[in-house]
Amino acid sequence: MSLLSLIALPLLAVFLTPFYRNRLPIVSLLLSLALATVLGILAVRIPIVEYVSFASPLGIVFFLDAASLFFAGVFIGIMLWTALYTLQHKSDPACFVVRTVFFAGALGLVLSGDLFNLYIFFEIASISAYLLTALRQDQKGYAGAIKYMIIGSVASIFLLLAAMLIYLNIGYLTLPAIAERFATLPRDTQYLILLLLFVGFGIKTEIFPFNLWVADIYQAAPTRVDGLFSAVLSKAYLFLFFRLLYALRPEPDVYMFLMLTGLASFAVAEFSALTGRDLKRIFAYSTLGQIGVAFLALASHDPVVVSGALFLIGTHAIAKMLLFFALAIVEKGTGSVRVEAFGRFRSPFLTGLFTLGFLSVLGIPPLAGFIAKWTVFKGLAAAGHLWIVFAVLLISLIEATYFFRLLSLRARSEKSVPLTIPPGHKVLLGSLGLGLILLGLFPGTALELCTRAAEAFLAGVPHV
Amino acid sequence: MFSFAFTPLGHLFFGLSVLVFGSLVWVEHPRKDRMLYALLLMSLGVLFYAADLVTLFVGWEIMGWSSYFLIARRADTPTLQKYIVFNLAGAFALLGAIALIDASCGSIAYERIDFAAVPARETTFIVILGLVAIFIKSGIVPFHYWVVDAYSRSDDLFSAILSAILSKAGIFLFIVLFFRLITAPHLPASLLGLTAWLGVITSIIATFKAIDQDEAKRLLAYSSIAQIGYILTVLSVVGSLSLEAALYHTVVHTLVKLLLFVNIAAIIRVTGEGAFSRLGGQMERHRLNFVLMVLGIIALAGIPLLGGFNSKFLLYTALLEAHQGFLLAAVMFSSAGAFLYSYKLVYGIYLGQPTQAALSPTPAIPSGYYLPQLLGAGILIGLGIAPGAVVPPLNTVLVSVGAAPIAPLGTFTLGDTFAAFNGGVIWIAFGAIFLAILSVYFLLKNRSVAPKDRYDISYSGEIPPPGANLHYGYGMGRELSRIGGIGWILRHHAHSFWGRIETLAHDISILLRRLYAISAQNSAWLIIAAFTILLYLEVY
Amino acid sequence: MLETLDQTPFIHAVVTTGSFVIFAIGLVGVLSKKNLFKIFLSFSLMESALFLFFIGSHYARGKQAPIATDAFTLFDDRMVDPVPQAMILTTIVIGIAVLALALSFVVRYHRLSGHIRIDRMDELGDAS
Repeated sequence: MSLLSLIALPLLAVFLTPFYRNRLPIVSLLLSLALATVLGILAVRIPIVEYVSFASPLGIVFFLDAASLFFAGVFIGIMLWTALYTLQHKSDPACFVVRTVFFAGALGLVLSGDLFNLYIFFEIASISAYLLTALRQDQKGYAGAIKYMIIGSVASIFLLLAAMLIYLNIGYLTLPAIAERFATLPRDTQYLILLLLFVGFGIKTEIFPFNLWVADIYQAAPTRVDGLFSAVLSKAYLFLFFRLLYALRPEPDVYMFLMLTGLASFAVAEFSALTGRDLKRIFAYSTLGQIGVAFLALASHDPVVVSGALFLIGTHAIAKMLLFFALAIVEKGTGSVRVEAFGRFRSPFLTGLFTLGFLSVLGIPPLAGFIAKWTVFKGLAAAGHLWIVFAVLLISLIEATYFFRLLSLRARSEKSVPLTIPPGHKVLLGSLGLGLILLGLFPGTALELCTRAAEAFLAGVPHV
Repeated sequence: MFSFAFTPLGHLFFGLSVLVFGSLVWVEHPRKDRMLYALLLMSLGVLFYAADLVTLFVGWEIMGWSSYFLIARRADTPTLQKYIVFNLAGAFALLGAIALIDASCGSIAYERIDFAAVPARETTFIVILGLVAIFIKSGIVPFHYWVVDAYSRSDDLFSAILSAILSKAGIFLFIVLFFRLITAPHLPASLLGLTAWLGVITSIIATFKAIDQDEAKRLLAYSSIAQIGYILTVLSVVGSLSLEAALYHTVVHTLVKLLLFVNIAAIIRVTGEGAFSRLGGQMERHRLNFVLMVLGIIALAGIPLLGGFNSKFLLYTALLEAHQGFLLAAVMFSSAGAFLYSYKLVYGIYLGQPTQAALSPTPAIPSGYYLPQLLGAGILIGLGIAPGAVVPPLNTVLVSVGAAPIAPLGTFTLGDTFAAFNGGVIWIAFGAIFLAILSVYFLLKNRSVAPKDRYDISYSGEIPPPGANLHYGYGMGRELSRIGGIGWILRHHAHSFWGRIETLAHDISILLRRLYAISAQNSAWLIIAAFTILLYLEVY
Repeated sequence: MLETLDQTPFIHAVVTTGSFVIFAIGLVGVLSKKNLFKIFLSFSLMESALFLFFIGSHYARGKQAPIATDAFTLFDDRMVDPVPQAMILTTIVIGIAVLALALSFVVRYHRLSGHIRIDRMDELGDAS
């Protein structure tokens, strides 16, 4: 069983769409289950290094180690959940195609092992994201998609430049080969390449000051798509950037700079959310903030902190899927996503879910987010970065301010619209909330997985 | 991941919690909050029985947010925001301290934490963070901003829980941190000295603000702050007797506030009013409630006969033994003020003449309201008669946190070699005098003339017009603002300080938010500019 | 003199300078043009400049294009490095696809809004 099947299966399913265009929800579910099975089979043989077409160092490389397994697992899990969620919707070829290519692209990003492959999946994921933004085919959607494409093209150019420079100087495109030879380059060239990668990936990873486009895109895209963006897209690019970084082994100053960038992202995003008036944008700012924390934690280059970062990524994915999908229900019921709409619906179930989501993102026990934050803080304190812990805690207060202000609107729901949620959706949303509670109370196994993934992650790329 | 230990300290605090919750169950409460109350009680169990700092933190946080939702039943958004932001700030400070402890001592389990090897600088940091958490939770100035609104604007019965139990969480944390974990040689003396003074300054400020209040619940809220201030002051002295005094006062204060808040809740329930200017003269209609409140304020003010005196006595003794004369003087000054607000509480509601608003007939108070009050009053009376009975159990708590036990002087005697008193003797003496005066009163009673109606006060040389407000005693305390220092305290509010911070954050937010709405092209400009700047920085 | 013009370093210099110029033109276009079509075309220009630069840098006088024919069946030293060419072919295709998608979005947007000027796009944003 080849690693390629994880990418080939979804693409095949997409190409064969015309044959079952009326039964796409079932196909989507079967596909997710198939991918989960394949991943399970492959998981026991990690680390796997696969060369396609040519032997090293010319060929196209795919890796699967504990770190990429973690991310692939999260993405396939989300894919499965989304397939279950859309089971009762009517068969929509456009949505199916774009969504499946999106997941294929994300999986490809996580599995790629050479620059060529990386660039291709970079673009595939981006293109499917552009299409997802415009899915509703309204003016806002197209405006957002256009804006996204402009910024995305800038990112592509930076990445292309970086790839070209690497090849011109090193002569190889495969990550193991590059990792071995990067340190031998003159310092200025190293810096330029790192800078190009930082800007290119910074845009896609949504780090300040390269993330000024994100809030608009989240506003333009359909609310449920925002859940996918938040949970999958930014995380895939985050993984890839740090995979590259850990492989290239830069100087400690670089790590410190990246940590500061992550902290700045967190601060700016949370402050912006404080006076937001549009719920989708507020959730977008929250995502940017959490990405900043994850970026900060990954840049610390410390095993405990990185395992905390991975746990954070996993729990944040669950929490944001929950929040955005719940928000989509509110949007449909009240017709608005302004902050005022948050007080205008009546549904104890959704109130509970929003509470769980907010508390988890804030990192408040007994939810999963707390375990993530605690692991990160524990590691940072042990590594001597105590002032960063304080800075993150201080900014978290800002986060708490706007989340709890939203919750206080829930306590007072006069002239509210009762919302009816189909039982299937209730079960699925409830399972996410339950997941957050269970991971918070019994994090043992999950933390163990994250620790192993972190070890593999920090070790760089598997060598031939 | 989480570990628990059933220690005497935990038993004491959790026992008090169960007492408070259990007695309130008998009073009416909305059914839909049962889950939240259960969650809150469970979180208190986790907090008090934790055997490691992370478990303690989990309990602390769950307590915080479950209280939020209970307060949210009635409170408005600004109150809620103040509550949660301050409490989370304290919680985050605590988390920072725990992370630092983990890094310095290598563990978060109580058993394995040893501060011997930790450098003084780190210990100081940990202490400061822990103190911030304690100050915020206990409402020490300047962090008291959230307390009064949260206590006064939540459901009446939940205010009892807030004041009786949740305010003690800070005390508990202090004992865990500064008696159990960081033992004597490593404690920074200057910080503890600062804490002692902050505690008593808070008491003074809160006491005078309490006298100035018109709403009963707000008065009690300030009173709670003041009482917790006393406890923190005496705890900061750090010794066996001071811990004993603090624990005793914790027990007494819990019972007193339970009694008083439920009493007020009953009055609000039947009259619909909670302000002194709209009450008055309720003594005739609600006699049992009146008697219970009198018992409550006797204990609150620390007058001999009830348990309130016991704890005050221990407190003063502890301060004297530690040679803290100035602190003692300040505490006494604050206690003197406490007499004033205690009297205002009972006068404004029960004595004097009823105001127009309180004239209409009121139903009888539902009997459920009496259970918590009788329980509290009963225990307080018991403590008054047999003050020394509590000493052996408190000693087990002392030993469990590593302090030396206090020598018990017998069931009816309380104190130590320095000074002691016998509760039984006081009761006998008081009883005799009381009976004597009572019999004289009954003998003379028939000689007085009963007035025909409430406007018949010609014997005071006044003939008020109909409709005049006769309950002017509720304005008691207004004249205090003419005294220099006290007037300054009363005129200034924490709002002006914290409000400025809030406005600052708001303005920064609006500024930064504009960045996120710029066009794609301008974003591209910014990206290219950032790239160029970073490139330039390295090249040169 | 024509000999000099045919030397590898000279070709490299021309290619490098030329591609920088084209890149700069594209960059200016992206940053200053208001018409959406022009912005995306400028991106296309920038990418083309990069392609030229990359392929041109690997040009070596006397070497063959890396295409297997009857005469050349082995990939060896007599061929120009095939890797950049493969990569750029793929990248060109991706570029076309992205451009096509972008332009179709612009057309759809024009149908709904009536304009294609970036400074008149105000659907998104954070009303205070």
